[in-house]
Amino acid sequence: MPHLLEATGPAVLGLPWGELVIGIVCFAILVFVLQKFAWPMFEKAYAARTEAIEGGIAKAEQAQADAAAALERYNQQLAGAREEAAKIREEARVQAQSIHDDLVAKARAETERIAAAGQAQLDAQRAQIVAELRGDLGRTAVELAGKIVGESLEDEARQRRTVDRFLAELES
Amino acid sequence: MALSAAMAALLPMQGDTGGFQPPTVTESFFYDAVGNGSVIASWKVVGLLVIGTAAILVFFLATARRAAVVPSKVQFFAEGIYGFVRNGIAIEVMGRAGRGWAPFLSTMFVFILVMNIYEIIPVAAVPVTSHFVFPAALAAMVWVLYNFVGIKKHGLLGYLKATCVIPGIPLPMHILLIPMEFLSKILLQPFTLAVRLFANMFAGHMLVVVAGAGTIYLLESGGLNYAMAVLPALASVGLWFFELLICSLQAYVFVLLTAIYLEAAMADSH
Repeated sequence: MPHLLEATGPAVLGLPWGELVIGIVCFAILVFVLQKFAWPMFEKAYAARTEAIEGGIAKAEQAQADAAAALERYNQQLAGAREEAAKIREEARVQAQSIHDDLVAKARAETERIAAAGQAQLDAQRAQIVAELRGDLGRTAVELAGKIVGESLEDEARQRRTVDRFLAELES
Repeated sequence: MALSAAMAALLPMQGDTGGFQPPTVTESFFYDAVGNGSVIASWKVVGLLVIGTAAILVFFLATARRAAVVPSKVQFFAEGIYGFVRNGIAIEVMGRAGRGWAPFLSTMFVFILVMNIYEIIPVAAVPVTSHFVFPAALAAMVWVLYNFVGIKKHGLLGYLKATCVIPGIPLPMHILLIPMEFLSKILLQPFTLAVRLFANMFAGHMLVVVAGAGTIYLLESGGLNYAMAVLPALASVGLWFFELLICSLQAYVFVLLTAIYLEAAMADSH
């Protein structure tokens, strides 16, 4: 078998320094250039992607929370409105009742007042009429009696006595 | 299996003077050396190194320049490589500190991967990393880095103590274990790192070369051997995929071990 590892040329484990220098230069260029211009871009893309995904999720969650809050608010407003309406209705009813009661009371008072006034006027007129009648009747009666009797009842004492007796008879 | 069959087919030729001569190391790796190869052992390898570096630069700069939130297919691929090293190696091994190392480890991974994968690319057909100087230089750099990081974090004595002293063992055992730990952690790690990559790529290239040369030899010798050429030809195809695996795996292992060494150097206890 020919010797596979027989070193007739450069040694297998040799370290040719020309290749070493070129290799170091190449690797150094790669390390520095990629570190500065390539890998950070990928990191940025990762970050942007994460941001986009997480941002999207956060945005959706925010929207959902907003919607829920709005619904809650509307429900509250609706309940408030209902309550208010009930309150207004109740107030209106109470007010109407009170107005009604008030009116009735006022009307009643007015009626009573009018009735009382009428009564008073009536009484006054009656008293006046009675007084007038009493005067007239006395005079008329005396005149008539004078004419009938033919004698003047000018005597004042007699005249009064006659009238009083007449009236007493009239009232009894 | 196919390979051993191919080798068995080749064996009867051994005695003949005009029989199969496997390519030598010089023919396989250093056929275009400058002089005795102490400066440039192969111009082809140097050329591949420079072309590979340029290709990596162009590819990643082009994909990174327009790195968008919604990636194109090429950007997705480039990002995938970076993300693989960043999440799968750097952060996986080193935790939060791994993010800072991800760019360096990614560069190293891409560099080694491309320099390995040359082995199975037609025309190129020789892995740059099969020249011992490249794995050795990378391993030396890793050695300097992890020792530097460890000493920077713990101080020289603190680093040596954290690295070499295993806590919670009987005192006499330290006499045995401290030198062993020192030897393995401080002295031998870079060698195993370099030799693992180099040996895999060197041997892989030899396998590919032998299978290829065998195929050509059998085709040229005619007769029954003409039909037998199908065996090393099949072996070559199988080897192509096998070496694809090896090339990727060795790049991954090298970077993974680098991350582990860095993590161990920065760890507070053994």
